[in-house]
Amino acid sequence: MNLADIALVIAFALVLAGLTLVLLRRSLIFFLLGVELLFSAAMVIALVGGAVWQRVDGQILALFLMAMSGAALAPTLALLLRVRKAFGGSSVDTLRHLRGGRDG
Amino acid sequence: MMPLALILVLLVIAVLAALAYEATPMRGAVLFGILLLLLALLFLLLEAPFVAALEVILYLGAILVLFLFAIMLLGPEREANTSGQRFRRGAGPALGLLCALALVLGLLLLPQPAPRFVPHPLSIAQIGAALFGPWLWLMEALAVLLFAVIGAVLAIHHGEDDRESR
Repeated sequence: MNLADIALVIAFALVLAGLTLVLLRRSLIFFLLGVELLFSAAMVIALVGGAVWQRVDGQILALFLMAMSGAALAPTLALLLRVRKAFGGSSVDTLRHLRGGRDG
Repeated sequence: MMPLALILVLLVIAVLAALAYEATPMRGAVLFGILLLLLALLFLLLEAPFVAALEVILYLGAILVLFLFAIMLLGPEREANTSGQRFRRGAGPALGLLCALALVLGLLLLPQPAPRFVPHPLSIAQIGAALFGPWLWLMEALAVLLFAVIGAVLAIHHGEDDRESR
């Protein structure tokens, strides 16, 4: 077991925690934290690949993912504030009526 | 380097379990910051010092601060007491247990003479040459994307002003 394997274990833990936060939590802030964890896991895997094959492409992909997560986060947080103002809550339950149907 | 990496993976698992257990958004953000510092350490071990520095500067300096702004503007709001909370409280320790199990199994089952992993430091000049050589289109696409993000945020707030002035 070398450093690359340990880094992949860390990536596995990050994916597991990200999925836990996305699937189990009701708060939208923690939902977004889970998405960030998934992005971080992808970054770790990209860096491991770049280190194992001795290529710069892994680091380029990590930088790209960093910019992507920032770009995804900014409008989402703006939308979160909008949801808070419009529906008075930052929980998933306040958006339940978006699925339509009888309980809307 | 290996003992440091093992301590690092245990720290990451502990912080992730705490993050899955935590109910207050502000504490969650602080735990996320600690996690980012640990990840920067991991990137240093993987011989990517440039990405490690950017992880601290960009993630801790920009994205985490964005989170803190959002939490401040949203106000303190604990997660509602739902039936899923009991499940969630068990999820953190279960997650830690699973990851520790994966680590132990990996230590026991993986062949010891694994292909030697010799990290080779890549210089920042090489990264820059790749960024502005074959990956130039990617950087341009990112520039367009970030410009579109400004537009999206402005559009979100524009509708809000309209409604308030009505």
